[in-house]
Amino acid sequence: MYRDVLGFSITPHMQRVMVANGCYASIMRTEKKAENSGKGLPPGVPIPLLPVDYLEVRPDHWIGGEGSYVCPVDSDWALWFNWSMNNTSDTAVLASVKGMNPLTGQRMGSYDLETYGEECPVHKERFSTGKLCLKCGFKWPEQNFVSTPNPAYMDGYRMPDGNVRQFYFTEEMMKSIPEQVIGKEDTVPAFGFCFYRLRDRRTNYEGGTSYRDEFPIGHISQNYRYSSPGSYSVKGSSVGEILTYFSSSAAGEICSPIHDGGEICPPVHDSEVTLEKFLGEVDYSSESRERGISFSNTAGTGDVVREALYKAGMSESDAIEAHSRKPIRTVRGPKGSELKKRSFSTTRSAPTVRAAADSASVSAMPMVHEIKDRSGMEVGLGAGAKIKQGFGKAAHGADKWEEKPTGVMRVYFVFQEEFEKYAAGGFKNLEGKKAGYLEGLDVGGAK
Amino acid sequence: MNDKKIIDLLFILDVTGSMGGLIADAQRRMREMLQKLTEEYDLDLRVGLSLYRDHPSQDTSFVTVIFDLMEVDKIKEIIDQVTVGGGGDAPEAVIDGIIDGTEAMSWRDNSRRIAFLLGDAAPHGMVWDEPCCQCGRTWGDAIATLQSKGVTLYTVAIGGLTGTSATFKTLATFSGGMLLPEGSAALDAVLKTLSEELEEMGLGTKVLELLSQETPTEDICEMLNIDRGKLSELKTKATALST
Repeated sequence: MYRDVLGFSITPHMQRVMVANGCYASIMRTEKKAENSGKGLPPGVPIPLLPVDYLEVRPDHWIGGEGSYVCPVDSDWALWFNWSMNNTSDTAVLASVKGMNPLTGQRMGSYDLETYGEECPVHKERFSTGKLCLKCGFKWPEQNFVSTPNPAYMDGYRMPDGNVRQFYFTEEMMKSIPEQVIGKEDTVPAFGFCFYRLRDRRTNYEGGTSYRDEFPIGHISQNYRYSSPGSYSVKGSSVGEILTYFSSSAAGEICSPIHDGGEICPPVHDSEVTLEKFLGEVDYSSESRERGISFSNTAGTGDVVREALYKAGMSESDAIEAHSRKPIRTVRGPKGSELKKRSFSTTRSAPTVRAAADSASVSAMPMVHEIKDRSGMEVGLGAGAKIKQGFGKAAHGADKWEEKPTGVMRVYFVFQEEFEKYAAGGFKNLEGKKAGYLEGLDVGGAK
Repeated sequence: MNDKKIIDLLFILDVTGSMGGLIADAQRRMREMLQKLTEEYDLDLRVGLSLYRDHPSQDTSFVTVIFDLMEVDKIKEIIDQVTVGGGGDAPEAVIDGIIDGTEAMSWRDNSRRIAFLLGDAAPHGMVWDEPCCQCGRTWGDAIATLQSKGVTLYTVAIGGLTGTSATFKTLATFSGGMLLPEGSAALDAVLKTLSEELEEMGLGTKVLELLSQETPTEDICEMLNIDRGKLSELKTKATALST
C-alpha cells in the first residue's frame, strides 16, 4: 500500500480507468460545490480502483470477473462518472447508483434503455407540460440513459423538477438518496454501468494506404528491409534492432477494442449479462416502487459544451471563446462517416472530453481527518448542491441501441478502512490468468 | 545478485512537420539525458522509441514507426537520425503512438516501465467533434493499453497549441503520471522526473534491506529522513518491483 495523490493508501494493482469488453469508465473525485456557487461543473481526478479479482479476501456478495472493481472512498468526497474515454459517437450508458437510476429515481428493475414519450411510464397517464406527471409530481427525463454525442458524464441525481444535485459520499445514511427513494432493502452497495453500442454502428474504419515515399529515419532507411502486409518487421543492418512499422492499414486491423491485456477480465458474452451482475449483488429481490426523488429546486441548465471546456481545464472566459463557431471543413474519417474538423490555424480547439484537474488542487480538497474505524460501515450517496447539468434528449432513441449491453461494470465503494482490511488479506497473482468464471484456467500458455 | 535497477523507458515522439523547430534540440537533450542517466545511476536501462505522424489524408508517409527496447548506445544512433515532416493539421495520431509503442515493446519482467510523450498537437478523438481517432481507437484504448502493461505515462506538451496541454494532462493523469512543464525545460523535467523515480527506487531498496535486518521502522524513518507514510509507500513499491 502507498499513499496516492488523493491522500489514501492504494495498492500497486490499482487502475484509474475501468475496462469491460472495450468499454471504459472512471469515477472522478471532485470539489464539493457550495449551494448557488454559480460556477460550471468542476473538474476532477480519477479515483484509483482495484479489480476485485485481485483480492484474496472479499465479501461473498461481490461479483468478480470482468468489470468488477472496488473503490476506496472518504466522506464528503464529491464525484462524477466519466465515460468520455469511449467512442463519442456510439456509446449509451445506463447507470445505477446503489440500485437506483439517478435520472428517473426508479429502482433498476431491468437493464433496458427507455425513452419517455407522452405518458408517465409508471401511472400510464398523459404528461402535463414538460413531461410532468401530476401523480408522481416528477418531471420525467427524455430517457433513462446518457448517450453520446451528449456529454458522456454524470455529476448527480436528477431531481423531480429536472435540476441536478451533486453526488457525494457520506457516512450519514439518512442523507443517502437511494435508501430514501427506493428503500434500503432494495439498495446495493455499488454503482452499475451498462454500455450499449448503436445497432448500425460502424464495424470497420478507414484502412488507408501505406506509402513509402517518406521515412523518419533519414539516411539509414535504405539499410532496412520491409515485409508486409500490415505490420512491417524491419531489420536495420546498421543498428541491428527490430523496427516495427504500423501502416495505417495495419492500424485498421488492430483497432478492435483494447482490453486490459487479457489478464483479469474475460469478455462478457450476452448470456452472462444479468441484472444482478449490473447491479453488483447476487441476491436481489423486491417489487418495483413507484416513487421519484423527493427534492425540489428550480434553475436552468448550463451550456453543456462550455461546461465541458471549463471542466477540461480552461478558464470560463476561454471556454466561452473557444466555443464560438469557427469554419468547419470535412476530412476523411471512419467508413460511412465524415469527421468534421475545424481548421487549426483559425480556431481554438474544443475538447470533446472532460479532462482531469490538477492533482494538487484535488488533493488539497478537504479531507475527513477524524480518526475512527469505519470498516464495516456502509457508504451513502448524498445529494449536494444544485449544479448546472442538463440531460438532454438523446440523438438516438432506445430502439437504435443494441438490445443487450456490450460491457457491464460494477463498482463497489467502501470506506478506506474497509478497503485496507481487504487489502491486508493479500493479492492474487493474476499474471497470465483469467479471472471470474475462467479462474484457474491457463491462459496463453501460462501456468 | 544483480542490484541494478531495471528500467524500461519508452519515448513517444511526434515527428510531424510542426516539430521541426524543436527536433534538433530534442535529439540533443534526449542524448544528454540518456548519457546522464547511465553515468549517474547504476541502471539496467533499455530504451524504445515510438514515432508518430497522422493518418491519411493528413499524412501519407506513416502512422507510427516503432523501435523496440534496446541498449542506450543503439537507441542514440536512431535518435540522431530521426527527421520530421508531414502530419498536416493538428490533431495527430497520438493515440496510435501510445498504443502501438506500448504494445510493441518487449517489456522485461520486474522492470519499472515509464513512457514519455512529447508532442505539440492534441490527439485525434479528444478535441473538436471527433468521436475517436481515424483508426477507430479512443483515448480509453490508450489508457487501457498502458494499464495492461503497467506503464506510467508522463507527457510534455510542447508549444502553445490549444488543446494539447489539456489532453496531454488527461492522458498522463489517467495513467498515473503527470503533465510536465513545457518549453525548453521540458526534457530537463523529464530527467528530473526520472531521477526522482530512480532515487525513490534506491530508497525503496534501502528500506527493504533495513527491514530484512529487523531495523525498527522508527529508526529507518530517522535514518532516511522520511515519515511512516513514505516508508510504507517505498516498501510497497520496492516489494512490487522485486517480486
